[in-house]
Amino acid sequence: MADMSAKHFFERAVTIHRYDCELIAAAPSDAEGGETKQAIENDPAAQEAVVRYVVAARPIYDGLRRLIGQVAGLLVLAEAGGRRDVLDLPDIPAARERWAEVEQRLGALQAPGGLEGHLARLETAHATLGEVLDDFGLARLQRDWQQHLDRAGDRIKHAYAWLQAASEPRAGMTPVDFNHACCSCAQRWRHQGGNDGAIFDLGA
Amino acid sequence: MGQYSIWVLEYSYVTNYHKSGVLYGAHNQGYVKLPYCYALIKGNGHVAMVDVGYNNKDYGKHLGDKFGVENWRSPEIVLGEIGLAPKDVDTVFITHAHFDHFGNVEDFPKATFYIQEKEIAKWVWAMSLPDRMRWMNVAVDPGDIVRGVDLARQKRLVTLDGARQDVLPNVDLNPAFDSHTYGSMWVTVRNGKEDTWVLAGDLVYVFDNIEGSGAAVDVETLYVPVGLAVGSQTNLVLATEEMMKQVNYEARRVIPIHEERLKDRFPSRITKDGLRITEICLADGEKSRVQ
Repeated sequence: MADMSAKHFFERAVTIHRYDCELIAAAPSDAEGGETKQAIENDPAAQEAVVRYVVAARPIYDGLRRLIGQVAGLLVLAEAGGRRDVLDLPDIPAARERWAEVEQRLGALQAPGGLEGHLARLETAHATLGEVLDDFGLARLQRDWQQHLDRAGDRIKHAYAWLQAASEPRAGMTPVDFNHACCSCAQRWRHQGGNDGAIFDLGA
Repeated sequence: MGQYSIWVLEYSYVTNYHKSGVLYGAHNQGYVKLPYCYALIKGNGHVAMVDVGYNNKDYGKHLGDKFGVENWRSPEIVLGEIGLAPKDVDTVFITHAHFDHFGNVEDFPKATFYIQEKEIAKWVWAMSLPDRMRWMNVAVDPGDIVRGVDLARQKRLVTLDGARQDVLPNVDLNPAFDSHTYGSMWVTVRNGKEDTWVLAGDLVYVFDNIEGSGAAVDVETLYVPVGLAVGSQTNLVLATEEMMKQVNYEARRVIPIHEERLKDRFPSRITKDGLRITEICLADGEKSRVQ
C-alpha cells in the first residue's frame, strides 16, 4: 500500500493543460498547497486515505474520459456528415446509462482533506456531460436539432476541460490511455531498470 | 520529377522503443529509435499534410518523463525548415485517430481535414465497452475527438466512407479497415507514369514490415505486420499487398514514417534542432530543402 512516495500525488505539475487554460488559474486545492501537503506527508493515516481516494476516483475519471470521447465522436458523426440519424443510435441511451453509473460512483466517493477540489472537478465534468446528453435528447425531439447539437459542442469542450483539470498522471489519470500505444511502449523507467517511485502509477 | 514534392518531417522521437512494437513477433530483440513524423505534400497549388502530430502543450511533459518521447518541436518550427508555415496548409489527411497523428489540429487553422468515418464510429463504439475491454481504445485522446467536433462545425472535417480518388488532383485515399486501427487509411500520390508514392501512415512502421526476413520459410522476404493492431494482422498484410501493388512492388515507394533508416534511402538532413528532414521526391521546378 502507501509508502512515503505518496507525496508525489501532490506534485501537481500542470503537464497536461494548455498554457492558457483558464482552469490553471483557479486556486489550487488545499492538498496542492504547502501546509496540507506537508501535513499529509507526516501522517501515514492521511496517506492511506489518499490512496483509498485515488483507487476509487480512478475508475470515475476513466469513465468520464471514455464518455467524453464517445459523445464527442457522436457529435462529429452528426456534424460532419449532417446526419440526424445519429441521434437515433443506441449509443446515446447507452451513454446515458454509463453516465448514471458514474454518478453512483461519484456519490459514494469521499475526498480526504485537501482533495475536495479534485472531487469537485470530477463532479463538474460529470454534470456538464449530463447537460450534453440532455442536448442530445432535445435535438432528437425537436426540429432545430442542429442548434441543440451546437450547444452540445460547446459544452463538451467544457466537460473535457474539467476532465483535464482533474488529470493526475501519477495517479494514472491521463486523458490518453498510453498502455500499449504505438508511441509509448518505451516506458523509460522500465527499460532503464529504474522506478521513479510513483506509488500511484497504477499501471498507466 | 513530377507534380508533387513530398517530405517526411520529424517532429519528435523515442530513442528506445521496443522492437516488438514495430515488428510483429520480434520479442526480446531489443529497442530501436522511433521517429515521430508527418509528411508534407506540395504541388498543384496545394500544401497538404499526412497527419499533424500531437500537441505538446497538453501532455508533452508526461510523455517525455514517462515514455521517453524527446525533442518535440512545433509545426511552425518543423515546417519552417522547408520554407512553409502551418497556415499554408490547406489539406490534412488523418491516417488514423491516435493522438500522435490527430493530436494537433489546432495548429492548422486553414486546413480541411479528411478522416475515415469508420475511424470515428468504431472508436465511439470501443469507448462504450466495459472497462475490461478498454485495451481497444488505447492511444486515443478524447480531447482530439472534442477538437474534431469544432472542425466539423466549421465544415473543415470531411468524413469518408471508403476510398476517395483524386481528393486532390492525382492524390487518392485508401482505407485499411480493421487493421492498425478501425478506420486507418493510406495516401497515394500519383506523380506520373511509374512514379507513384504511398504514404503508409502506421500501416507500415519500418522497412522490415515490407521486406522482412523470410529465411524461416525459405523465401527472400515477406511482409511482417506492425506490432499493434486493434483489427488484425491479416488485414495489415492484405493492406500492404494493396500498397505494394499500387507501386508495382517497388518497396522503396511505400514510405513508413516511423522508419529511422529513411535517411539511408532518400536525401536527408538533420536540422539545428536535431530532427530529420527526408526528401522523398521533388516536383518540377521545386528546389531541394536538404541540400
